[in-house]
Amino acid sequence: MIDVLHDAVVAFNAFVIFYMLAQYGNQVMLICCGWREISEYVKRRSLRDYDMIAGSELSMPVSIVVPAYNEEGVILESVRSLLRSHYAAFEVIAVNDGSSDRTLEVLMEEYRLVEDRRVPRARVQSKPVVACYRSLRDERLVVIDKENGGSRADAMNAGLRYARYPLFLAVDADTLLDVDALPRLVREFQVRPETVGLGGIVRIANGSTVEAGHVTEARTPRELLVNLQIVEYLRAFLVGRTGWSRIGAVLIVSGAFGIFRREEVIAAGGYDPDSFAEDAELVVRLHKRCRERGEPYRIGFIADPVCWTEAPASLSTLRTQRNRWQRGLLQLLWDYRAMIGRRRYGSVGMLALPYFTAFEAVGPLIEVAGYFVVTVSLVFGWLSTAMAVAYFGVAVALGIAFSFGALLVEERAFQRYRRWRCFGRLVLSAGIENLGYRQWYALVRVRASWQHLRGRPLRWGEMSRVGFSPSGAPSKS
Amino acid sequence: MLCTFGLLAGLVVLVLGKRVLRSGAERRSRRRRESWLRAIGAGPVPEMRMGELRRLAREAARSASAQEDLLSLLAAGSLPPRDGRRQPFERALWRAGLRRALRSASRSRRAVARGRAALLLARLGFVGCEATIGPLTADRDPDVRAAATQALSCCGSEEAALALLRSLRDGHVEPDRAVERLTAEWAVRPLLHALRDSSFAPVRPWIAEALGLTEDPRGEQPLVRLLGSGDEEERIRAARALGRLARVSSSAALMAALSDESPPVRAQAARALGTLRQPRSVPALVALLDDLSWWVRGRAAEALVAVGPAGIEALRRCAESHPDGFARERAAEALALDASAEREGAAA
Repeated sequence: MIDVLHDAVVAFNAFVIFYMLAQYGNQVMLICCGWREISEYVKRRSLRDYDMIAGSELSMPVSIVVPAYNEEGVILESVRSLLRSHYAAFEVIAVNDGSSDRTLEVLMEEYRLVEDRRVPRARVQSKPVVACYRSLRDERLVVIDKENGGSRADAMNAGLRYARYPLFLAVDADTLLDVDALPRLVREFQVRPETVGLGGIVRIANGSTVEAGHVTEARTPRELLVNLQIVEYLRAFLVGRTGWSRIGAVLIVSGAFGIFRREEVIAAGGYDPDSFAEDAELVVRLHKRCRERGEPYRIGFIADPVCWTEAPASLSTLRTQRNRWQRGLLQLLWDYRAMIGRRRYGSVGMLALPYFTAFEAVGPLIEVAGYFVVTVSLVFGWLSTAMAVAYFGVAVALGIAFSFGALLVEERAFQRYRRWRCFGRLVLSAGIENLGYRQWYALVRVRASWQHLRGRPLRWGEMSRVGFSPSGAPSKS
Repeated sequence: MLCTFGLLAGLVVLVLGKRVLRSGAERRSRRRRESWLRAIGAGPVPEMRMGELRRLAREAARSASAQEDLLSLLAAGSLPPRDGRRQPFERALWRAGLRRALRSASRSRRAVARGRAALLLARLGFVGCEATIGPLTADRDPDVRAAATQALSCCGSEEAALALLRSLRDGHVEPDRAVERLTAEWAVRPLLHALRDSSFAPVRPWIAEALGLTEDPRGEQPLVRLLGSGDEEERIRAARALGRLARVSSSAALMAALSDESPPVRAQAARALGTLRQPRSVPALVALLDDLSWWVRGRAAEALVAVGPAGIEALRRCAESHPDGFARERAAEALALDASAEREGAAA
């Protein structure tokens, strides 16, 4: 029995070494692609006339859709921030998804809403709309009051039905947009008309200085958990998505900040209200549609337009959020399993989907199993302590190396965190991240996968928010 | 393990080094920009530091980062000088070989170099640069095409406008991107010329659009003539452009366009009449309130509100007693919105 266990452990160790090599190889490829993409982007910045795009009445108009469910505390700040965007032609559609708090009332009071007989312009399924309002204070604001649909996707679909412009930007109610984000996004659609969807970078606002609905200085907070998430976001966006964008295989355009051609999304049927990861599901569906049609298209990511969001500051909220992400990913991969490994779907089918299956969906399980097997090997004396430490050390060191890679890209291109103290916190967090947080996150993902396999219903959960207003502690430090 | 720690230490040094290097580069760039402004000075020509200017220009001819700095100064409007210092400034750049270097960069294999050269040539105002920039509007790289389009509008000359129009006609530039660059006074003559030229016939709607955006009265008569064109798109754009020109003398032609067979033409004509605020257009606009197209009815109602008291009075009468239900509805809605806006204005 012990011999069988020994053989199994040896075989597993060999498998893990190959698995790790493949994963790290892929990460190196993403860093290289991301670095190249960002370098090219930075070099070309001076060629771009964003002022003209922002001021021209011939620029493509944008409908910004903001779904809001019980967002009484942040909705005003968010809408204010959106309405202050430097752009000539846009409308903001705030969708009150049957909130039980005063989300609709605060909007009505602040923006003097009057009922409007707006006609839906698309056939997309959503729960019934109770009323449609327009603002007497700012004609660019439209508020849609609808019955609660139980998902963000349902609210997005309602917004999509009433959007009238050719581009629509999806943002969360707890986000703040940079004033010059819109021209940067729209430019890509104007210069490259084959663009179907585009994601921008989501950065964490906790600790940053917010004035008049905009982040004026990016800073890092004192809380370690938030700093760990900042490094994680930098890695995911600056390395991951930029790298995937370079090879035309972006699978996730964040629901908090993604812009699409309205007609394409409507033709694809809008958001899927049954999906736990409606943003990624829409993107994969669009990839599938465009690939099957055989026409050139682009779904990409650009790292310059920034959207700021509030990150969970407690472990329990973070766990709920990440649980949903993992379950959404598993659901997505299962729903689109037919695309995996199919040449017809190009880099999406041959690279991105296999990568997400092997390393994002199954990865946490193998990581946790690896820790368990190393412990068992130590107990039975099949592995020397020095070897176990080396094994763990290499894994941790490579993880740290990739986080540093993300910081390097950030320094190359943007250097948003100007203060040395903030930068120091990020360097420290990139080191600490792999000692405890990464293992905890792997366990959360394994648990989420187990719950998903058992068919346990998903709790969306509500995130406790402090808000962005200057009086809110985290935003004005 | 040693290797691992070595790797990590190396990475920390790399990240910190990158930050230090970048800070250094930013400092150098700031100093260079200050040098440009110091060399030109604020006083009379004899106080200009010509030697320093030639040194900076030579640097810009060689180095990409120096070109970036010069471009940022030009984009901010700090350069070139607009008074008597302009001529010695240009001479210094020419003697330093900057113009030659930029013309050569416009044929570079690197897209960024081509685009930057186009922008620098235009912003520095080198005579005859349109001939170098024009072909770049057909470049294979979209960023270079966009930069060349921008550069031509920076030139602000009739040659530049013609080069842009040719790019528009040949399909190298998206129509909207060309039109938004052709909205200044220097573009009017070339636009009028292109409107007459049959070789520009496929892009006439866009030329009309650009003429409207110039708001130049010279465009009125050609646009009025275009309202009688057999092409629907040309009539739509002409009506819209006349709305932008807002010339009372075009109201008769616009009122005639209210009976056009095409609903978009009728809608645009109604909208344009609204901007003219002529009480005599009220009966014609009222007649559109029961148009078959919802869009035309809406535009007519909005135009009546825009006309002022006479239009609002006519809307009130229609809301009460128009035989057509749709017309009553549109009139009532326009009046309600106008009343809400007024209340809001009073509250403010």
